[in-house]
Amino acid sequence: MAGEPSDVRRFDASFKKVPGTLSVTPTHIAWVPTERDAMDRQNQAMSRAINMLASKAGSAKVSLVIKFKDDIPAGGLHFQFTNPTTKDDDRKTVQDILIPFVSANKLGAPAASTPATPADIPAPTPSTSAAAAVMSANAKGKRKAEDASPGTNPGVGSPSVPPAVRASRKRTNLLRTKVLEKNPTLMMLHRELVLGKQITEEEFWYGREALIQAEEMAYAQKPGRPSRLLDDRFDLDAGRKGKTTGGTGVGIKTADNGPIVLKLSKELTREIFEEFPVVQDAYAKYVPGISETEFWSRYFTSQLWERHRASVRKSANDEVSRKKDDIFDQYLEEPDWNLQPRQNLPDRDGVERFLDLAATEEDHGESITVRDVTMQAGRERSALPLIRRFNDHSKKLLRAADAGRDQSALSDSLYGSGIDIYNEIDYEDLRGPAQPATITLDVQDAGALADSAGDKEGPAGILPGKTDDELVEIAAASAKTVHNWHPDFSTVCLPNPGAGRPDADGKVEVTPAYKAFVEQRDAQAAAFYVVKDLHRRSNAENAVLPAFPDNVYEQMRSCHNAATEFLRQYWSAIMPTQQGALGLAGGASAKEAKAVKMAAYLKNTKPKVEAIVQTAQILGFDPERVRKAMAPTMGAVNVALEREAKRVGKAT
Amino acid sequence: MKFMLGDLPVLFPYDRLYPEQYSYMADLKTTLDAGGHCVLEMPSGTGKTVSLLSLIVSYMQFYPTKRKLIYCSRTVPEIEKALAELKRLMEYRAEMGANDGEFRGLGLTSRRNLCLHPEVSKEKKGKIIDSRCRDLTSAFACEKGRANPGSVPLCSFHEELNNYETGNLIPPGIYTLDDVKKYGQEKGVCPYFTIRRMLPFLDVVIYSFHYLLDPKVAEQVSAEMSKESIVVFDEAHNIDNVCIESLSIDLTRPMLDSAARSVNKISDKIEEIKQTDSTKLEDEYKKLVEGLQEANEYREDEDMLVSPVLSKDMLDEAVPGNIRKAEHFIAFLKRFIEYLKTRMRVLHVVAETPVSFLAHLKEITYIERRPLKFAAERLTSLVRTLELTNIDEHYSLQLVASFGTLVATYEKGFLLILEPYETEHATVPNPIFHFTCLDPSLAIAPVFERFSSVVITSGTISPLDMYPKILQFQPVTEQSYPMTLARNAFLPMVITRGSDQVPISSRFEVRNDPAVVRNFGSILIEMARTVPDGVVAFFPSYLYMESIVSAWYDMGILSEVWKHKLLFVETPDAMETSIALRNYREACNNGRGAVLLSVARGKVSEGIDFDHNYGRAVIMFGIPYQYTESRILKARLEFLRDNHRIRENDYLTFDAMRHAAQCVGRVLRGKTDWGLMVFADKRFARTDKRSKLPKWINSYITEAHSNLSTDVAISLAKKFIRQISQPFDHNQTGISLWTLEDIEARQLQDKEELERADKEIQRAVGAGGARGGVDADMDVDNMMEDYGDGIDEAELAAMDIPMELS
Repeated sequence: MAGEPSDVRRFDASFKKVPGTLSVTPTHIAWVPTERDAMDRQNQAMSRAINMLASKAGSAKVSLVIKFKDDIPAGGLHFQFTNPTTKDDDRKTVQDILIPFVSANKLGAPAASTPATPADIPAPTPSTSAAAAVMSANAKGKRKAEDASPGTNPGVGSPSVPPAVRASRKRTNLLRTKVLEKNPTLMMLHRELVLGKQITEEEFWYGREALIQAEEMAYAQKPGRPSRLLDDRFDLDAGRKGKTTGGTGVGIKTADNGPIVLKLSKELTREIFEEFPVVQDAYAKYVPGISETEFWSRYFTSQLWERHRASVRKSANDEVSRKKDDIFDQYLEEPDWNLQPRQNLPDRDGVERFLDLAATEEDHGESITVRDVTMQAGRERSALPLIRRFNDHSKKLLRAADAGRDQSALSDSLYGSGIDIYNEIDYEDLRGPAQPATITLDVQDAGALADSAGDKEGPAGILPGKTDDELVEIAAASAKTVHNWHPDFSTVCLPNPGAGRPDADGKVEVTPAYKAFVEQRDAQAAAFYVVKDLHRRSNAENAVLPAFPDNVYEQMRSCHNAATEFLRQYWSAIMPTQQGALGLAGGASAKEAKAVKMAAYLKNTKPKVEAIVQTAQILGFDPERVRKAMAPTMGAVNVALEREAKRVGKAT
Repeated sequence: MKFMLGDLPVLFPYDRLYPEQYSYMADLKTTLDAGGHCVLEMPSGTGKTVSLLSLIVSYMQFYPTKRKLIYCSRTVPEIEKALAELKRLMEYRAEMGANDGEFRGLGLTSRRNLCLHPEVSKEKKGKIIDSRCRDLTSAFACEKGRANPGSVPLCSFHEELNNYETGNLIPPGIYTLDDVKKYGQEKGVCPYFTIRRMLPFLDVVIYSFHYLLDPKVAEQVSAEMSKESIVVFDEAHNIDNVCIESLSIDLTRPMLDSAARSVNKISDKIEEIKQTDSTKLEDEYKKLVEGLQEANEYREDEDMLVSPVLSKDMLDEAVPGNIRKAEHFIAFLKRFIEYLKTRMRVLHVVAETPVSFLAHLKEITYIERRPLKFAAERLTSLVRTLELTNIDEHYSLQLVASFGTLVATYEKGFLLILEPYETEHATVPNPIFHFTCLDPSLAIAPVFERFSSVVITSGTISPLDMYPKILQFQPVTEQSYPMTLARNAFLPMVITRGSDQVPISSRFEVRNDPAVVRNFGSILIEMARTVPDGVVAFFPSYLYMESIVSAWYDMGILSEVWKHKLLFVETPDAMETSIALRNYREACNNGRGAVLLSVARGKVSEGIDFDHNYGRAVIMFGIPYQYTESRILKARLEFLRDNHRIRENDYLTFDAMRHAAQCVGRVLRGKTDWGLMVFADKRFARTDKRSKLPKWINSYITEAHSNLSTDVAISLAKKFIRQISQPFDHNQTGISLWTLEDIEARQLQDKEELERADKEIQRAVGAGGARGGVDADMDVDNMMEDYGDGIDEAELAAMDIPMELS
């Protein structure tokens, strides 16, 4: 757990009435009987634990059942803590260790979690059917059910740790596990350092709050409302052929020529309830009485559904074929198609004055003339309920998006005079200055910079120290040179004049021309060799070297990762605590201790690297390459160590 | 900033100025100096209101005549914004050291928007609030209540006003409608009557057109306004329709039934009064002999009872003898209602002139024209004498009486149309008797007559010559300003066909064609996909919008739109729509984005701005033509043709285009704002249609963008959005944004040109011109002397300082 040294913990516990020792390591949970061979040893990986059930606090037997994935071993392991003095605490400790694993594993196995997680949120309906309960759990989000309260696992709560702290710890652990799952590198590091007892859990996470936070935010994010209208997505006519329809028919399966099959997911049910509260009302009243299937099939063939669908088109099976339905017909009401909406509106001051259309209507007095047919709003009565639903739906979507914000400010009632009418009439661009203000760069030593810039001033121009006349002269001269230039290739590439005829002595008289030719030839050859050599060498540099042997590479990586983490820890301990960040508990002394500890770890880096070099040598791998690869790491470590030496020296 | 326009120092509450604003103010000043009317068209969103107010307030405060400003706008949102604009202007003036002293500005709106009475304000209907308010505040109720406290319920907010000094019911300053309401709440006074009673003492009053144009209201509210006042009709593109509406009345059968019931009730009341207090009726009779003026002493509270026409000479006339007695008048009304009911039984359409109607009326019922003319006034008097309460019950009767008065008063420019069926295909008769005004100049004529300067201005008032023609006045200045832009901030596009090349149009014959509906829908989908934040779409009529919305839904088009944006639709109920609007704005603000479907000429198209992120694109589905089958419209077109030689088609197109322009103009506010304007109808491609759009829009429609298919338009839109979203560091100042220096440079240039022109003239004319010049100089001297006395010293000093510095 957070802040506690993770170690192998041993507890007295009996398994199947055989006394023994329960040992909990960070990865495994194991039970060994006190008497040899009295019972099989039990050893299970933590990563398989999916649930814990504890006996009631205060009961005579303090027991704990741990269930594992796939129900192997069947029924889980049932331990009874036997140490007469510490059995309660023992159990608590074991539970605390197990909680993160259990919750993490649960997520991985939702199938198993659902039945094991009784919905502790009051279901919206008094229904006893499992579906309804699951539905409600769905509604509130599965995760809520898990991290909600200690009540989820009755009896786990212990008096020493307040539930709030427990819950928060649990949540933190959950988040940490999730972060680790997402980052394999971090997971490896974590395994090496924390599970390898080099640093504590808390230390490891120190400075990584941002990761946790991001995870938490991602985790807290809930899927928004779908923006399409419910019945548009869920359209009974979708399967019909030869019909243009807007519905996608989510949740609808049609067998050829057969009846329409509705696949009613929990999500969909929830949305129907949300969209049409009367259905929920009916559900609450009748469902234990009639079966759920019957309820829904009756609903979808009822006139109420027809009314609920935001469509003006008549479905093929309209009034005539619709049966009377004693449940749903009583919820039928006149469509909301009068000029004034049924919904209660704030009568006055409901909106800001500059949006208040009703005020204008009143101001102009009741019109004593009748507008022509096309301009009478609401003549198309059947469209009105539709339009109202659109507005309502959009409003709901808007509110759903704003759900996190202050609800009171968004209510339909008096909007408040918070909105400044001056903003509505302002012309920003008429405000001077028209040019945006320049942003001054915040440069350190701006003064010095300006000074150095001042030094460079002084002689300016193209060629400092020359007068214009001189410059013109130079220019003229260059122009002339260019103008008069003739290419003369014969001086560049000499012809072979021949070695000359041998004279009487047999000696060959070397003509100057030949000499020049020879020189040039030799020079060319030399240059050729140089270039060739360069080329070869550069190729060699770029050549693909044989890869590091796997285990060397693995060691290097681990060494590097560890060193980096120690460095991070070290520097975070040395640096002043960041504003707003959570410092280590204990303040300066803790930091000091940590710095010393980290420095000690860092000192081990060099021997470690040496060890890797050794390994490489044994494997017949170029040790120099290992050294080179580790050089940057070593460099960083050395800097830190030098710094530490200075610091310690200063302190003493 | 402060700059000089001629001799007038203008305080403008921003540091920069658009060139349009400068020209606008200059022209406005010329008009005010000359003392005449003007028509000014200024591009939407270039700060029309603020220029107007800052010039006129500067003008009012600088010249000693202290003219008042009557500023009329269309809708309450616009009134509220104008008030806020004025308030900020005055704050700015105070900052700049202008001494405006007791400057007062208020806005007026109906009781419903202002009432604070705990019970009355709960009522939904404005009519009922008016009536209940009257019961609590009318002269006779107050008299009784004060004499004998508790006998009659009174409104404490209204009573509280008596503790304040007349003309100082509210401290000087500018109050928005909400401010007044808040003030009323704090002090426990009635905001409505505070404003009403303060009207004669205000420097600026802002209210809607109706208060000046509708004779039923104008006589009450605006009678005391000084003739020197400057009258401004802002957003005046629809002014002719307001004029016509204010003089038209439609009667239906339920209204006649209700009127008949009212008559019976009143007749019972008369019997009752006769028994108890017959002197009252006799007093009234005597007063009526003397004339209406005497009969109507208390007018303030009675504005719901007013005759629709009231010429001054009629006031002094004695009421005709045959309706002076209450019971005679009741019998008279009964006969009239009976006659109207009989007329309604006819099952074919009838159109007749007022003259022929009166002739027939006389033939059947022996009702003469003269007593009919007094019907409304006589009813008012009777209601007051009987001290009736809950007069909203008698609303229909009032309308019938008004109907009688109007028919008897006007001979020309009106038509009576009886339509037995609502629509062509209806089989159940639902008769409506339209008394329709065809000539908008009738309602506005008193305004032009009475006030020396009337400014008619809007963002979309093209073609400029149309308004003087149909409103029958001679403007001094007619001007339309182009929009100066440093970059093309808006992209108008005309989409004439869908991606499938099927032409799109809202023409009646094709508008319900599935291909057209689908193509309209795909424009909406594509726009919702492409454009960030808010998209507004306008339809030509409610009928079309309501049918297309359900069609789109069934086609799955709206589901597609929902993937990108939220969808809001205008509904018949105003408050419901307001809430939808607010949600729309919220969705635009929080990044979700939204689409608003609404109707041109509808509630939303007037007075609601879709600037910045509230409207990055506006789509005009079809051309918002009026319903051409309407008989009233036909009659009006005929009238226009016969009297003003305006061709039917020209007027229809003009009318449609001004509304289209009004809709698309809503998206711009300021020059950094940007937006797309989509005209989706193949008929927009025709130049005769486009030429009727305001110059500032039309000049930015290129030939290449005037005949697009949906896919091309969308790719253009994408390009435009990408381009416009780039940081814009091009310096606008000098081109579309002026500093004080730019203004001065412009003035210098103007002056030089003027001098050059002067010289030319002098050279041409010779000595005569020179003498004229001397005269002008002398005038200036005289004027300067006058002002020396009239202006506050401190003010002068304060105003001069910045000038010396610059």
